[in-house]
Amino acid sequence: MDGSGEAYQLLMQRLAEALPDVATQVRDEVARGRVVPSSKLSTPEREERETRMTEAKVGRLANADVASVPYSDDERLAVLIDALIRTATTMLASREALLELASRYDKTVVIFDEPDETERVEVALADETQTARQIAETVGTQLRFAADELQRDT
Amino acid sequence: VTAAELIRTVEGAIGALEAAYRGAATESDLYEASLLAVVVQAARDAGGTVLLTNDGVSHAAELRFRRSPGNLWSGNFTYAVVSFPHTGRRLEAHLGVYVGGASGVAHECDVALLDQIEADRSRAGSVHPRRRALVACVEAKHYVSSPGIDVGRGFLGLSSELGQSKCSLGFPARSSSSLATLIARRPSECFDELTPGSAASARLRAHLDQEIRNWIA
Repeated sequence: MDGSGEAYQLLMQRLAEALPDVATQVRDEVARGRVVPSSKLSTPEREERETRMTEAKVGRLANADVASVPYSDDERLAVLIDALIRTATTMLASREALLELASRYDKTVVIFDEPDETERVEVALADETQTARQIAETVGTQLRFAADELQRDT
Repeated sequence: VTAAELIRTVEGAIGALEAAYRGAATESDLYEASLLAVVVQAARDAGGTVLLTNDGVSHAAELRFRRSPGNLWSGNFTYAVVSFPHTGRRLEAHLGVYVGGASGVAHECDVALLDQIEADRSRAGSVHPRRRALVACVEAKHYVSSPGIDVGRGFLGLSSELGQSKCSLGFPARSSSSLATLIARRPSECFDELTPGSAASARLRAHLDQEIRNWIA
């Protein structure tokens, strides 16, 4: 897709402001690239590496070699979109599972606290599950459509 | 789709998530606690009767979980007591407690399933439960993007301390092939794309169900 590199940069800035931990995870994955055995490199990727190795007189690629292939700009965007979909899905699934457990004991609230009882956080599961469901539905629908379109363009 | 359209769509999604996202720590707490719920389901599948309690005897007046690892015997936190009719044996499922490893060092278990006799010993003596009484342990990593190999290395270190076949790693993201390969060669299990209700959750539940049945036998 034209402009996907710039789109990734811009969206990562926005993500870092809104959900910094998710941005860090996406950035780390993109920085690592796709790690693949050299036997699974595409022909152009293999030829490019072998040319460089020949020029450097360091032998040839072996089957035991492990290579890293950088993500394309479109693939970077796809990684970002996938992380957002999983964020929405996990938010909903976690709350639903806890609500189901809590409801068996006529509870709708769970409390998280430090062992020394200094940082109490209450989560109203019924309300939060409803909100998370709405978000998962809208975010999921919109982003899956975007991801499909991106894949079609690639 | 144009870049401008995609940017608008993704920015809208980020905005919607931002409004409800509770931050890394609490979302991670919720994820870990949801896997306790999966463990409780597995215990029921294995024929257990579950009591959620803060004192081991009565129903929990409030559901209260640890945000950080702590001692099993400390604080008024919620855990599950699982009774198995006809056997008299009991398990306890705890969130975020230390368990003593092979080297003598205590390690955090995100979700620990323990023989109640060992849990009673821990409370009485203010000592960490020993790894031999650990029935299963789930290491929860709240990763929505594929975790790095360091997560796998850390998990393998934990599992070598607590018992490789007893330990499972779970996270919501799809695993990289490197991480999957690293763990596939070991007796421990890795459940990627793990959220409650997912196919991976059903596999984890069945795995734990079998571990519990083996323990009963």
